[in-house]
Amino acid sequence: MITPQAQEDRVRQILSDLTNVPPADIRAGDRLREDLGLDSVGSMELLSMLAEEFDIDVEMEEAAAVADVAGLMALARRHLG
Amino acid sequence: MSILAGDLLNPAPVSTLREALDRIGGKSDVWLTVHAGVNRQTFGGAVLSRLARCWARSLREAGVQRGDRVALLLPNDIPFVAAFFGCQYLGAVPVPLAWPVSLLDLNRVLDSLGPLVANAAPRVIVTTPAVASMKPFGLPAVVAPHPVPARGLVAPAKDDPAFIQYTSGSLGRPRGVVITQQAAVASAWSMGQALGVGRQDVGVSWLPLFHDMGLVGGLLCPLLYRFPLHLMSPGEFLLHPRRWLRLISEEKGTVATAPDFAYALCARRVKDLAGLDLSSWRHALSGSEPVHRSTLDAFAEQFAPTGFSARALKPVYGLAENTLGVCFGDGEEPDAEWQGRTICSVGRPIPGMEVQISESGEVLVRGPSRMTVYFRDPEATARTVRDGWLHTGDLGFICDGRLYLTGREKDLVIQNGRKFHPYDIERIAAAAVDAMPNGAAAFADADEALVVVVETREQLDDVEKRVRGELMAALGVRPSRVVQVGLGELPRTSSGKLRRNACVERFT
Repeated sequence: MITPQAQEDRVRQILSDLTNVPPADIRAGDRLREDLGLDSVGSMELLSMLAEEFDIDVEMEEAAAVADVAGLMALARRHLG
Repeated sequence: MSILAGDLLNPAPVSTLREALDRIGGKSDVWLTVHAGVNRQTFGGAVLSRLARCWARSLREAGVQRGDRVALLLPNDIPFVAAFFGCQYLGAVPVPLAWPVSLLDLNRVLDSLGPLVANAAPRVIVTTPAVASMKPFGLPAVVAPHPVPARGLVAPAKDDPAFIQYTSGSLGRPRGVVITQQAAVASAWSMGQALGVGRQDVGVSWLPLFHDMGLVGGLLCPLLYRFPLHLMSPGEFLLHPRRWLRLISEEKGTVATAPDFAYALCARRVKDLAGLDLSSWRHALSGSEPVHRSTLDAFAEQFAPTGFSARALKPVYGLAENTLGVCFGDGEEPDAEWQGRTICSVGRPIPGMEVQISESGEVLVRGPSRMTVYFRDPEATARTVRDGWLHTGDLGFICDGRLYLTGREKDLVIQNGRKFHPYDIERIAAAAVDAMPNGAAAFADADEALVVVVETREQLDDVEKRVRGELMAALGVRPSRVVQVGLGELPRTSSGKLRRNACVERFT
């Protein structure tokens, strides 16, 4: 079982890989679109990578509702319990 | 000037889309299957035809008459398909609008569609109840089919418009390509003839139905040739690219099309090949953005163990102004070297189409699926259709009977299959840093990455963040690089017009 901290670090790393923003500069309040520069295709790729990384099944409605880093972390927590 | 001509186009069995739907018929045969996650809904021709007439009735009760435009703002699902054909039964003209992947920013999405809707002047909008509750564009909204099918329907003539396809015209001046019944039928029929498809084929598509490649290639081609179609949504593909491939594997799909970025995404993201059998996939068409040899190779190599044949990968060329298809590859095109770049051929003209290159290197196209006019824009129409030839704005050359594209629609910036006019990007970027309205330049570098240059009075620390944030918010496009220069440093002509070619040289 992955610890919440390790999980958060992993999410941050994936985000960083996609956006080229250093992990330490990614804040919970950052919006995926306006602050991190992910377009709709990029956001979906991000969620798709998360789904694969943690072996979780994210559905469209849920994915489309994620707007910021906090939402992303919450989604990962929900699925990983 | 030599003209490259496709084979003779066989006569199509129908002359309108309404006839095509009626011809599918069949009480028990499934024609369309809509997939969403694990759910699937199936529709036979007769059921779909009845549903379309139910939509026709609710549209008519909302005041829609023959010739009226009907805006469709819907996801890739059965209401889009049924309402689209409902319009056909009334002789009304569907106008598909881009459905966003996420509804979080619905107000902004609606704002950006405003100029397009103003040009199309639809009588009603067909959309989901959630969107309808926001009273989009002040139009009456139709959200459900009537329980009882309409009667006393009209039979459109072959010269009547079948739909209006809006293109990535500048936000200020959207251009609605008017496609007649005859052109829609000819386009779908020609593409099918080029591929040699028939009732034994199986289509699998996630392409958006509001876009020409998803609508004409994805939906109308299977309709004309009466082969089954499996439909999923773009969002689901982006989230789970493997599901597209799994669907092709499970349904023994033979025809499935996508832009270059989607093949790259699959090669990058789909590592688990267990249970995937892609040996049935005969036509893996790649269109709507420049095709890269590296993408084709990576995809072919990655999926070779699934039985996928590299020969199935076929670069294609089409544009909304020709309804869709112009040239198709046959999977065996030789590449060409051009100015230090490797260029994939997009093949030969498909049946009925003729292609030539103008003095200036522009690709000109003639054939039965050509647009008639840009809706309510005679000037743009006169510039685009001259002496029967469609002036595509694309640059290319012909070699050994095959077409090669070297530049795509001058100055246009293509990102993830979406096309943007630099003017729109520049306007927003300039406003983001309080620059003069003409104080920004947007262009694609040799790798097609978006570069934005802004002129600022003084050095600002947060230029990149501001420009990127505003562009993402307003257009959903992400510049790969933002460059800050001093006032007057952008290359301009003597009359003050931006010289984008010079920008490309200076800033990349």
